[in-house]
Amino acid sequence: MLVTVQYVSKQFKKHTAVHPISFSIGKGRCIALLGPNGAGKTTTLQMLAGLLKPTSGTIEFVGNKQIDNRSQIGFLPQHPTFFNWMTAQEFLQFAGELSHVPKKQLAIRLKETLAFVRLEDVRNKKIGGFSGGMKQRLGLAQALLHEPELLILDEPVSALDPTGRRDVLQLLDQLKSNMTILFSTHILHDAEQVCEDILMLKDGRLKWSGTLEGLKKEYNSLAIKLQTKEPINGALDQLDFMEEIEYVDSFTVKVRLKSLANSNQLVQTLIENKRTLAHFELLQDSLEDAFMKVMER
Amino acid sequence: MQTFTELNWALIAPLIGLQLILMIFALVNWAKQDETNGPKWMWIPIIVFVSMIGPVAYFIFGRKNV
Amino acid sequence: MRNFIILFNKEMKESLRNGKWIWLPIVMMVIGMMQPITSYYMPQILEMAGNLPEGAVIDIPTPSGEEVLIATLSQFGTIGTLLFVLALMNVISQERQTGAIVFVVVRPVRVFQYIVSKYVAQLFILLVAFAAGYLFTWYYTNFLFNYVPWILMLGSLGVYSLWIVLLTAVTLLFGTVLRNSGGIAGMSILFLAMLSLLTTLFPKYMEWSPSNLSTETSKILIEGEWGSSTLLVSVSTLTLSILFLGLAVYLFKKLVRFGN
Repeated sequence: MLVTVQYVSKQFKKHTAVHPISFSIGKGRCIALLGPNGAGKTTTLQMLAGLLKPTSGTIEFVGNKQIDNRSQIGFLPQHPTFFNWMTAQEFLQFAGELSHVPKKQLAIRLKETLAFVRLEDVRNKKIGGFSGGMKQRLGLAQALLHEPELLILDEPVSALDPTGRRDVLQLLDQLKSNMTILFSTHILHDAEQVCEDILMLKDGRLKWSGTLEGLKKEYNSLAIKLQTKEPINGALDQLDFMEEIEYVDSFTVKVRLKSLANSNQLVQTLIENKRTLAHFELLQDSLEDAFMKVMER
Repeated sequence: MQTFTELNWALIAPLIGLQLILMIFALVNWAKQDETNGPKWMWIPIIVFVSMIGPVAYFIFGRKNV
Repeated sequence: MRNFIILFNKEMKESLRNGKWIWLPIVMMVIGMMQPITSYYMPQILEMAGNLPEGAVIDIPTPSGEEVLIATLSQFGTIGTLLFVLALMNVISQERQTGAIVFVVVRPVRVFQYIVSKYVAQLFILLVAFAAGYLFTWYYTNFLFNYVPWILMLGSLGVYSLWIVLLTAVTLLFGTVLRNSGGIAGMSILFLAMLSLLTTLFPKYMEWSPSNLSTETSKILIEGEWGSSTLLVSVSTLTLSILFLGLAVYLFKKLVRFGN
């Protein structure tokens, strides 16, 4: 475990941006913070990054009792704006020094990081002339320059075009093996591409927290759609592994089983009862369905 | 006009020189900007014709997020 | 200390890039030269400007070198103050407006280090600009009028610098409270003007007022001495500046929010 968040909430005057939430971040995991706009994602991330003080609750880095955890964190804000008069190299040098990276190591990290985000060719150009994608990559570079334990990225791909989006997601995928990543997005597909864990936030409340697999499993209804040439006429009604049965017409039925492993028995029973199987379909819920279910819960 | 001939030009020259440097410095800076507050061309007459206050106004108000 | 040096260097580099290090000293030098030169040519200027009746004799007493220095400091007190406040108004607000400040505050930097590094860096630039201007005045005054002892010049320069120490603190304080550059400059000027006004209205109760710094510099230049009143005004100006800086740090922690 890297970070434990307990009953953390944030109140802005009369508006509660985040109701008390608790979760933990496992070391080396990649976590996506999912939720619609205005769900409190940015507020949550800014509290974790130390930019905002929680109204209540505690954020604890395991093995570090200090209150100031900023040296262990790399943070990329949603709309990064830089000192336009600096060059990319100067900015990273400045950022690295402020993060107290030793001089020799900083020189090495600077090269590595510039190469990693593919900005080495423009490292001596003024940031003012950079495109949105380049700025996002520079933002990523400053966040990981000091090799933080936890990388916090606020909507790292939302403002990018498809190419820039793919670029950044690929970079994240490569970073996964080295550090713990927490990033927010309102697009499920982005989360699915790189992350194994998800946190779902809506209206400042934590709706779900766990692995993507777990989400799929928990919300998979294991439904099967069957169609036979002969009328079914209750041939399946007595099966003990049946959870639910719903007739669409006399030839078609939707069933829900206790476990998918029983599906073979289901087919066997049909054959034994002299029904010819015309159609067999596993109605697996997509991740989107699960997502929607959680959000509407 | 007789009084002007009495001017000690060695005294005045540094004053004019410094203002000239300021103006040129402002113009060079102006040329390097992509954008200014207000139309870019507008700053030229201000820098050139309003002595001293022009270049200063340009440096304080003319430039966008540098 | 390390953070302070890094941030200080960044301010220096920024001021070199945006030209502040060049235009501010040049403007101060021009203002500084202007006063002795116009004083020197005042009779001719009047002669050219006025429709004087035939045979009128212009008789203005030639000012002493000390008086010219005093007049210059008064110029610095008005135009210089305005110029300095305008040069300082964006120091914190611009980083807040663009959001670039986030990259500083997500790192292990303390608010105190951030504010004080900006304060010291900007004050340094302003003091160099002021000193450059004043040295030019002194040079021209010695040349055109009479020699003013360097110790008096340095004394008045030092005491007057305290005014800049204060105005930098005031402008930075408003720079943390307000976001809008115009508002920051306006409030700072208003505050300093109010201070001067109250000092002239209630001289009895305002003996400590930093606005008296100009009177003290005049005293130094004309009488060649600095007494207990100089000490009082200097100490109160320094105390107020430190107080304002402390307040700026406190309010920054309290008020400044990042992002949305």
